[in-house]
Amino acid sequence: MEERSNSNCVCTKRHNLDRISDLPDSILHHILSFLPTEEAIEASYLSKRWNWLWTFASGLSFYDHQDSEHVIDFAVYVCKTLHLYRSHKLDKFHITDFRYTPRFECYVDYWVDFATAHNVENLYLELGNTEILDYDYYKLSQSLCTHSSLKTLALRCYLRLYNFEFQGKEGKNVVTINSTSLQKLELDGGKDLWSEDFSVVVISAPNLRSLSISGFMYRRRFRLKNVSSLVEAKLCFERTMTDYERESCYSKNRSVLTKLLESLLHVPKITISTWCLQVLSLLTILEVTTLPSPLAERKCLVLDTELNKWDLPGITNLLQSSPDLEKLVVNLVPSCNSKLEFKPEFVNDYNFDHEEFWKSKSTFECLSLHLKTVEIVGFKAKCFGLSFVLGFVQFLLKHARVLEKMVIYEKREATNQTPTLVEAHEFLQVTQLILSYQKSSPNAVVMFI
Amino acid sequence: MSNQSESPNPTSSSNKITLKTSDNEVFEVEEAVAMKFCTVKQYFDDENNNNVTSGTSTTLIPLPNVESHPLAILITYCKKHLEIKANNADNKKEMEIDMEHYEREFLKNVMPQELTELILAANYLNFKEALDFFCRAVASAIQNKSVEYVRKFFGLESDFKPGEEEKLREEFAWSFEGVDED
Repeated sequence: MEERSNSNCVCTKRHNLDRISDLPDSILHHILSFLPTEEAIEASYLSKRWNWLWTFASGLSFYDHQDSEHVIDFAVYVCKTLHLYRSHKLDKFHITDFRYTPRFECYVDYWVDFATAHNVENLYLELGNTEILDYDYYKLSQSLCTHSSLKTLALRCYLRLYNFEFQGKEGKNVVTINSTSLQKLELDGGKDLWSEDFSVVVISAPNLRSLSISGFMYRRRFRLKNVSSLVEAKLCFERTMTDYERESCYSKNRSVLTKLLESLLHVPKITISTWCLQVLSLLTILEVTTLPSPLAERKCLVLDTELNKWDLPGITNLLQSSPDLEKLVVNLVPSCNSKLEFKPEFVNDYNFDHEEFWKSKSTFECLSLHLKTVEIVGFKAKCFGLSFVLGFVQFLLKHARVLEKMVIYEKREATNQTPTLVEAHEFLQVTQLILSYQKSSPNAVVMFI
Repeated sequence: MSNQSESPNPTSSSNKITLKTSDNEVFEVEEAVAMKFCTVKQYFDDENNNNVTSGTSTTLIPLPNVESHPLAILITYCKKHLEIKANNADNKKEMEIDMEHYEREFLKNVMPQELTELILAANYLNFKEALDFFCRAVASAIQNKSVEYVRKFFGLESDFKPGEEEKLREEFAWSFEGVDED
């Protein structure tokens, strides 16, 4: 508070001394790079000095907000803009929400070539179209992924990584992302579409710090070869399977996830969402008795799920395999479409009573020795899965012996309405219930925010 | 001005570094804060290399291109930046949320015409986070605004000859869409 009043009093001392024109061109280029490119271009009309400033902006970002009949206008516009661009070095190049169809292949080729020719560091490509079939997806050349200037690469939606030179055995498409410059990689497969993509994505990036795999990955597989610098990894993807191949897919999905987790044992922070958790549950139920998961060094675990019944064995697996865990975060996000389809026979054979689930579990090493912080984000006093959340919270409080704080963040509605009396009462009741749970850590504080 | 009575920051070492601005104000700042200013860090490193025995407390670093007014604001910003970073060491998302909140509040106390000198100072000090923040602030202030509004905001006069602006607009006709009401 003191600081604010302090800076306030110095602020009012001066008036209208400075103008934007005092800034050198290099800074104006920097400012323009924070604007969507079409607005940076519009700054040309300010005065003669601004005329062509945007052509040296250190970043270009295009967002296709035209209706679908004008996709071609957007594509042409991007090309025209790139043609006028004059800087040799491009920090970021973003294409957002472009409704790709095969007729635009050469356009996108041109953009990608342009970006790499300008030694782009941060490349974001979002080519989305729910109406095209997978063989019509844009085929992204492997050479891009290995480009030496690239530090951040984000590929969203219906992209096909493609290696033109090499088809692995059984005609599988093997894509290798082999880069020493890459620090952040996001692969997002988009939603709700069927694909026959059998590709194997091999990632070898010794300086990669952040990896995220999300969306529908169909039948893609991943091999992480050298990711020793990773500090965070996000596994929020789903794979698809047909009815008749479900048997074999069960084991394939299991092996895809096991391999990924095995390559991520050293990563301090892992985020995992419903589908992956449920595959891990399969694995836990079917295999763990014979072969427990290898131990990981992870310190922080984030679960992006609303906590479903069939997530629970997977969660125990992660707790068991994370003896050093210090922080656990549960983001209660809806997982309606991203659940694994369990076979009825499987459910029959391995069904369990979720109310009793945690009661039957003994403690884990991380709970006895290291877990200090638990965060539950998006909590609602009245929701379908409340009993799952409460069961888990009760278990954690009972067994986490060095817990310092558990913070429960209430879900905020976008409308910003004040809760009704009934809602407030319900919330109060739940908080009282949680506060009444037995705590094994004498210093643990439970907070509601 | 109470520059010397900067409250000690528990998260950083107790080493102080003294900065002297172009208008001869002297600021004593925590080493952790000063080290965010790459220009100062560079000067400090060079000094240390040349004269290993000199204690840090006696070093006075002149900043001939920075006035006291923007420097005071940058120091405040930097201290808060470090504090938020330290409080959320293992949660990047939380840190970003806290930082965003602080920056929003911060901007309420900064006049648009002050941004220029803050940018120049951050640029000279090579304080990247602050430079990006203030440049982004200028960008968002003019985003979705009409050319006339931005001219007024920046205090710019159009120096186009008749017809020149129209010609330019023709060239980029497509980009002149989706403007907010002023």
